[in-house]
Amino acid sequence: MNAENFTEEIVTIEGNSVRVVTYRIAEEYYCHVYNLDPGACIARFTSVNREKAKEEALAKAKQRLLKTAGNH
Amino acid sequence: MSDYAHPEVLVSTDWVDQHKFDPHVVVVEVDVDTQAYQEGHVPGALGWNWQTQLCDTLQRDVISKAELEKLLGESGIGNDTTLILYGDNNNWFAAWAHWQLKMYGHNDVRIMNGGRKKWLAEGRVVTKEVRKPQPVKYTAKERDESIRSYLAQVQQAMNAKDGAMVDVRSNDEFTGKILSPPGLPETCQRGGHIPGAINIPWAQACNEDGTFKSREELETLYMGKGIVPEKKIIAYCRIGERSSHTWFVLKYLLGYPHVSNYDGSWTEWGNLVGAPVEKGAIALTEKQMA
Repeated sequence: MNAENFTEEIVTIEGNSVRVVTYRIAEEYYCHVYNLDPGACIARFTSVNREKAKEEALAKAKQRLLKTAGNH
Repeated sequence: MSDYAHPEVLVSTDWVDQHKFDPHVVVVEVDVDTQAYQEGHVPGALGWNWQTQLCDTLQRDVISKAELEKLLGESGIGNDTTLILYGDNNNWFAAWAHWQLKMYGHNDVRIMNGGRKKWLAEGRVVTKEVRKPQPVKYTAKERDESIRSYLAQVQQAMNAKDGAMVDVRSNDEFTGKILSPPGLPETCQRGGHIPGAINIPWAQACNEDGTFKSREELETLYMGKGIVPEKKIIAYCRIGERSSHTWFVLKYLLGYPHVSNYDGSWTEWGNLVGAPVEKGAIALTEKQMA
């Protein structure tokens, strides 16, 4: 099987820029959300539907970012 | 890749595709996201977990000699094996593994330029199958501490005329605006940077596709800020992994003779009672540019 439909985009959640990566392997879409620096994965979701994977991963990322919003 | 000081330390995704099943080659994926390997990986590649297999899980330290020998032996890696490392996020933790393998003297260890991202983006074949290697005996060398810096060395280097420190964290971490990167819970007591350090975020060494920038671009990036080969360079970040990437760039791609990684990094310095801290952006001084 091959990796397919690799996409990458920068979006803003709760004032933080994050990198959203999606790709398909076999029947599943993987979505990972990374902070921009250092690039740690802060949320992920897997689904047979690309939009669902992205929506859920972004929701999880938002929760995690809110928990660390006070680290200033 | 041929312009680099040591081009032999890098291989392309094409090279890995052609050689991944060669009997003397072992490919290992090391990701910051420890679940990524299970999604799909280079056929034949093994996966190492940096949190449990590439550090001492009791005290804060790199992996011990005995544990490294066990890991490599169980991975079917002999002393003469060509070991190819790759990983996610610009090979961030592949570089961390590379630094430790060089500390223990593995001769032929290389990094797949572009890492996991490039492999996936190129639509190459992946598998979920986990290979079961035939165990071999591996004998590591005694740890080469010359490529590692400890707290005392950093304290001395702070005022040394022949040294320079490069802080490879984000600008917000460097200036003290934030105590930890967004989404990561582990903070420190103080924000800022080691006095005199120059801020060159590690990922500036990479192109958008995850490959390393050209030698000329890297020289401009580092030399333009006073990180020159004539100086003894110490790289640091938060826990020593981003700085192992910069260590790799300076030592192997640019050929700097004296580069070390301070893996205690900001989680040590920023928690240390009485340690001097600088905050905010700095203008390069004459000493730093000399």
